[in-house]
Amino acid sequence: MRVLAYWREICGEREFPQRSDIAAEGLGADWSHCLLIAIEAMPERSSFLYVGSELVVPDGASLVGSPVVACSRETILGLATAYLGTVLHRRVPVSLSGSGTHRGAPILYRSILLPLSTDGHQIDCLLGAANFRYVRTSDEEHSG
Amino acid sequence: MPTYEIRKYTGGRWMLDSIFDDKDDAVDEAKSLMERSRGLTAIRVVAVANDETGFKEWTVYKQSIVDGENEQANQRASQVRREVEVARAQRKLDVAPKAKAAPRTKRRSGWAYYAGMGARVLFLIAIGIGALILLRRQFL
Repeated sequence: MRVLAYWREICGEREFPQRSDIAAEGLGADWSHCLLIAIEAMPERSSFLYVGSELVVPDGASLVGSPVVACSRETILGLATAYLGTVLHRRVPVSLSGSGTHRGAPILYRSILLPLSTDGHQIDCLLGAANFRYVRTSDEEHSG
Repeated sequence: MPTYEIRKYTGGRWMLDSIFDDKDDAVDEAKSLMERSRGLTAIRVVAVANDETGFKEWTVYKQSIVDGENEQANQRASQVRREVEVARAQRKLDVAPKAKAAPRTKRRSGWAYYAGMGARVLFLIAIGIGALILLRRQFL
């Protein structure tokens, strides 16, 4: 919600803010939970421009420049970007939460993807944010 | 599972603002948005479901400037009603002792009136008798 509030703030009266409006300082500690995706004409070719330190697998390869579709759905990054197509289609911020896995362990997560545009119409970038916590199996049994 | 769409009324039309999969998140964001945005006249959260029975949507939260103004008007009317009731009760308390005292005063003034009248009549009769006695002594 803080990232959404920041997006609204830099958006002002426009339909979308620009990628250049985003400043890491403006997001503070939340920046390490954020990601940026460059949108291509063919959305499946979209790739990561930035991935916050809290969203990467430790000791894993840098994801910057790699395609979003290559990201496993069994990581927080994969879960947080799975609905990229919905954001491009509906052209508004979309927030999803739920349960999944990250590094082989069950998690509960919350995520959001927010559209950005340089010309104010064509969405050419997405700002995303996600956080999660690991849950014990017994918690899952209770919630199920 | 339904999704929850925040729709805002601005510039004379409803526009999709954002989409959530959690109802509480959507309602909280709608309330926050309504507080922060001066250009908004109304906002609502619509649950949208698309299952085997078809496409359905229903409103789970709505708020408008008119709602706010109506609420303020209702509060003002309630305040006025309370003030009127308090004033009415106070007036009853003030009037009650006077009402009790009034008949006693009336009874007392009636008695005094008749006593005064009686005294005057007796006085006039006494003067008349006295005058007759004087006339009788002078002329007889």
